[in-house]
Formats: sequence, structure tokens, C-alpha cells
Amino acid sequence: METFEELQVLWQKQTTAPRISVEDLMRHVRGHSRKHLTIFAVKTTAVAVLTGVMLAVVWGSPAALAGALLVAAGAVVTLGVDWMAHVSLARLEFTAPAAGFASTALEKLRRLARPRPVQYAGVLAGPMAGLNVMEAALLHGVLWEWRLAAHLFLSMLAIVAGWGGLRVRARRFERETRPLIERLEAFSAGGAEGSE
Amino acid sequence: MNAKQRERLFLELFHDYRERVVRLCRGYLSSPDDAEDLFQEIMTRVWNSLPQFRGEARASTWLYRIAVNSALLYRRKSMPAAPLQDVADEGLAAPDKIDQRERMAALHQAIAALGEQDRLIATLLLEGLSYKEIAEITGITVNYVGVKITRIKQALEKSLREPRYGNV
Repeated sequence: METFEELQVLWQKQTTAPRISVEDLMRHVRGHSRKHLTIFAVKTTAVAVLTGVMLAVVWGSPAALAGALLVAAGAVVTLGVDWMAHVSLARLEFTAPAAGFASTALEKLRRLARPRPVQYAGVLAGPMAGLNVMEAALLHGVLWEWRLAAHLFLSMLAIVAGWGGLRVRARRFERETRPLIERLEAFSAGGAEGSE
Repeated sequence: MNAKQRERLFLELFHDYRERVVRLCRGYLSSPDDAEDLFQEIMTRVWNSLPQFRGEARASTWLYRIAVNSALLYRRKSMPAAPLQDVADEGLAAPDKIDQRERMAALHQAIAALGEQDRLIATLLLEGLSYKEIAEITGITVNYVGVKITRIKQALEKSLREPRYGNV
């Protein structure tokens, strides 16, 4: 049986150099924020292209144009919410003492786990209203039964796609953040009596 | 802080603390791959936080805070129960290598059996940090750090006495 001091000596004997070279590390740290910016730029470009195509198709009709803009606004809100979630975690104060950091991080993760009304508006209400406005503007010469069917179909499409998207996002978020939330809770519980 | 100063300070911190930070990562995570990945995350956050570094806290405290907080938010890439491999393999003299490797593996297993907070405190303690420094890093009071450390030492010693660790 060794004393704790002997364990300290043993521990500090590990000359565990990192596998990454300093040059690669410098490249990694410099490229890190670029990676997130690139992902966001790709998403933004995809939304911009789709919006552009949509606007080009309905350019002649001001009402349909308004509908297309509503759909685009929904997409922009969704992108904005995603970006804010990323920024909110990236801007955590990593140089703060761990107890305070853990409770702030926990609070943010719990808040991000619940979809907010603005997300429902962006993902569900925007596309649903926009598609219906576009449909009303573009199909006004068609039989009312067909128009009604088209309205129902587009509304259902927007609800299913939007709801499904939110569910997938919530599940992914749950899978990714549940272990973190549990760890932060365990950490906070471990020091609750002695936090400063 | 201009770009050159930032890079110089980063390289200084990297050279001075890399081994200690890697040991902390390996103490906290059982998978060497995860530990390496966490090390890169920590250094990335160090780089991103450098412009705000005012020198009010000691560089070691500042860096350890980033390391501990990054460990708390780290998303494991491999399964939590990944085997301990070659934890003590590097840097040990050949004759003592097997014995030291076994003792080190036992120590890592004993640390892995501790709770979230205790695991981090144990690695900081094994690095030789004072109670005050540990309190500054973790944000718990010095007195409570003392209480925790007494319990951690007892838990580690008890774990290492158990026959499955071969009476290290």
C-alpha cells in the first residue's frame, strides 16, 4: 500500500506528451471557428438559393411573392435560433470557477432543450401561412374543391415537415446533451454544500 | 493583445502545461482517444480565451479552469467503459515499466470509480495543486476542498487496497 504522496509521484511520472504536434494544434485552433462558420454559411447559402428560386418562380404575383417571403422568413428564424443556440454554448465563461460554470451551463442546456415559441413560429407557422398564401395567389382560377384540397395538403405538409423537424432536432439534442446535463448535475450535487 | 503576443503566450502555455493537461484529461476520461480529443478542445478554448486573459489569476489557475470546465462539457466520442490502455506507458524506465504500468492502471481505475467532481479534484490533487488553488479552480470553499480531499484520499486508498487492484 502506498501513501498518497507516493501516488502523487507515480502520477506525475507520466510524461504523457500529447499526440498532436504544436504545428497541427495551431492549425486546429485557428481552423476551429472557421469550421462552425463554414457549416452556418452552407446552411445560409442553401436557404438563400431556395428562397431565390422560389422568388423567381412567383415574381409576377405580389401575393405569391408575399407567401414566398413568409416561408423564407420562417427559414431565417430557424437558422437564427440554431445560430443563437451555438453561440450561447460557445460563449460560456470557460475561465470561471467550475461550480458557477456548471450551474450556468446547466441552465443554458435545459433552456435550449425546450423548443421556444419562436421556433414553432419559424418552423410551422411561417411555412404554413406562406405556402397557403402562395397557393391562394397562384391557383385562383381552379375549382374550389381542388383549392381546398391543395390548402389542406400544403398545411399538412408544413405541419408534418415542421413538426417532424422539431422532433428530430429535439431527439438529437436530447441524445447529445443528456449525458452533459447528467454530468453537470452530478458535479453540482457533489459540491452543493461548499460552493462559494 | 496582438496576434504575435497571443501566439507567443499560447505556445508558452502549451509547452509549460501540455503534460499536466493531458494527465488531467486521462485522469478524467478512460479512453486515450477521448482524452486526446479533450486536450485539443481545451487548447482551442485556451486560444479563444487568450484575448481576455488579463493576468489577474495565475496562468495555471486560469488554464486549469478552462481545462476543468471543458472536461465537464466534453461529449465523449467513444463508449464510457473504454479500456484503459497504455496510461503509464510513456516516459517510464524499462525495468520498472510493467510494475509502474500496473500501479498506474490501478490508480486510473480507482480515480474512475470516483464521482464527477471528486475525479477532477483527485487529478488536480495528484498534480500537486494546493487546497487554495483547487478551491479557485472548482469554485468551492477551501474548507470544503479540505473535506473533499480527505474523503477522496480515503476512497483512493480503499480502492487500491482491494484485492482486484493487487494491493498497489
